[in-house]
Amino acid sequence: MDYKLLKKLCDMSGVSGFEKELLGFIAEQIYDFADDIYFDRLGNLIAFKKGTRGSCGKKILYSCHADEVGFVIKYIEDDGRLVFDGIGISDKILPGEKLLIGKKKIPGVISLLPSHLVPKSEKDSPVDAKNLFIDIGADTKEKAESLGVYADYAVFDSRLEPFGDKLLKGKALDDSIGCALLCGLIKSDIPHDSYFAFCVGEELGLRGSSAVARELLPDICINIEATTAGDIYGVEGAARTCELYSGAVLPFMDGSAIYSQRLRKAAIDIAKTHGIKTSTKSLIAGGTDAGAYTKLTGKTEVLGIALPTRYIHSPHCTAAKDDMEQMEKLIFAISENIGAIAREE
Amino acid sequence: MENIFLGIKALSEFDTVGNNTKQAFEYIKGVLSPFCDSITRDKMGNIIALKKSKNGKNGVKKVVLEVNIDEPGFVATFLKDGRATLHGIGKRGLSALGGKDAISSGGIIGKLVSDAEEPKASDYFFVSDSGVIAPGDTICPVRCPSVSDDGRIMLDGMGQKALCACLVDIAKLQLLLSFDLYFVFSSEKHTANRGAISAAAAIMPDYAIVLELVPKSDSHRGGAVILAKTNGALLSPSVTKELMEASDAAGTMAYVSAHTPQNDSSSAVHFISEGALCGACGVECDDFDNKGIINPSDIMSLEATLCSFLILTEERIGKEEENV
Repeated sequence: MDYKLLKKLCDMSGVSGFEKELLGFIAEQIYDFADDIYFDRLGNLIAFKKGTRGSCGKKILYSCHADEVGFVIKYIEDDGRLVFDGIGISDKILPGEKLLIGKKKIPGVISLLPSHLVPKSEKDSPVDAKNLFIDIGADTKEKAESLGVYADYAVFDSRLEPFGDKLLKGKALDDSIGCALLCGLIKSDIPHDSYFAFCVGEELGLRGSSAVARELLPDICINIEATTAGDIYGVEGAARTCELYSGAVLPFMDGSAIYSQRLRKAAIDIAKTHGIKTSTKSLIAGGTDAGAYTKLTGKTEVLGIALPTRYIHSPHCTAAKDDMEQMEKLIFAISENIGAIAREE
Repeated sequence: MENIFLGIKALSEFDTVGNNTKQAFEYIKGVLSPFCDSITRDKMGNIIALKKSKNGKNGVKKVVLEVNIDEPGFVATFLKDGRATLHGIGKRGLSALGGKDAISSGGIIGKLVSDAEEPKASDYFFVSDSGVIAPGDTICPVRCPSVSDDGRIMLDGMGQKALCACLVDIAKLQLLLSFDLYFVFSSEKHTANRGAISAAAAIMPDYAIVLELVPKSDSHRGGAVILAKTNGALLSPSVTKELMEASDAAGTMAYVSAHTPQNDSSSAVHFISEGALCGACGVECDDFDNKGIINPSDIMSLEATLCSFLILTEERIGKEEENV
């Protein structure tokens, strides 16, 4: 597992709609290892790599998404406050969070009304992002613009770092883990011809993958993601969804897709053969690019492989290194066996 | 009427929750193979039967008759202490399911139990002495259609079974048409019309008639129901008019309903097929969310209307081909 690359990907900025720089970096990483590499008009990065044994007779696609949750700066108030919209983020976690704005990484803070000033009647009210703003320490619009803020993006000011017992914590594990693992696969020798898609706009509603699905019309897609783990104090039973240290998550269904039972069973069998830990999700929630691949072609079987991640879509996504390594082993093992899986149908 | 009852009975013997349509596919393939040029099941679970045009030419017009074959049900998500926690798929009446026999996609028979007074889908558990189910297995109540004293057919969770039986009946007809006629039994309607979206993308029809059950209204007059509007699609007024004309030509009863289905497949067909001309029709269903009670004579009116529509479409398309 290339943790250096993972950290670089997590710490870069790749908010939905602003993935260009991140995808440019990924393109540089894989340029020497892919037989063909291009950006489509939406900005998806698509690569093709020939296998040592040629085609397996089916079109194979490994997919992940490059975009992360973040913020878009809509406009600057006369008093220098920045008005924003969140992309894929719950309003509840926003007050007081540190951000970095734009390419210049201008530091900002999301406003937080001190508790002494909150009226009693509003103490239990839900947070509404419409009432929040970003403070960059400017007291006029001109000062804010002179700092270099325009119609820009913002990300959480958070970096991937070790945490607890062999855990990693930081922003954008969703889906930098997918990007890192696919880079690793492209850099290796794979047995069969395969496509790789680093998609844009997943957090906006599977935008990039919808285009990739229709362009490539894959027969088999392995979609790599991070998924929510609810294994924290106070959450019991099915609501825990999945747990850290339980290996690669192989979901059977989520809010966007019903995954291929055949591929899922094949992945479980391969994992057992290779001593790889796997688990599943006990709560049907969320959505992934699998939704686009399943419904837009009618000919694609999709296998989902996901990293159990606490506090997903926050500045403090937390995941276990062991789970990442189990995912890596599983993806490589599936790649080795993809010909047999394709022929088995 | 017996045909329709037997058709509903056959289709109710396996669950079709989500994209779990393998058994339904084997049944439909067995019944329709002598009558259709091909019967396939795609990766979404859609079952597509095709009667090719009599000319055998490529580039002919494509007409789709579509109904969803999936039904509301449950999927097992979590197992603990011999009980499987369930996630509901699709809307259905839930209050009367406690204690009912249910069957899983793996063939395990058990019961649906709930401790809640007014249970939601997630309040139900599946328990069984006869085997262990796995997360991801689908579950639906065991059921068998019956006939009421007044001749209506009742089926717990009727879903669209009656309309599927209707479409199977029509597909058995010997039709010589100058267009390709697709019978699409789509999956995953109850998870955002996914099956219809992929079927529409694969076929790209010129015309599509979507079949829907509609809740029984106070002004129920019997016969086929022709829908003027759905929530997600612009139904073609010309196709709606043609369906009415077809019903008149067949001498059957039909009327245009004010009901607006919220989640029918026409939105998928219309949107995906770059503007296929789309119409919708069906029959009324009593106790829509629970028992599901239909009048078989309404189904027969619908069959006659659709057959007449195909004949009128053949005349129209035949004329268009001549003028080309």
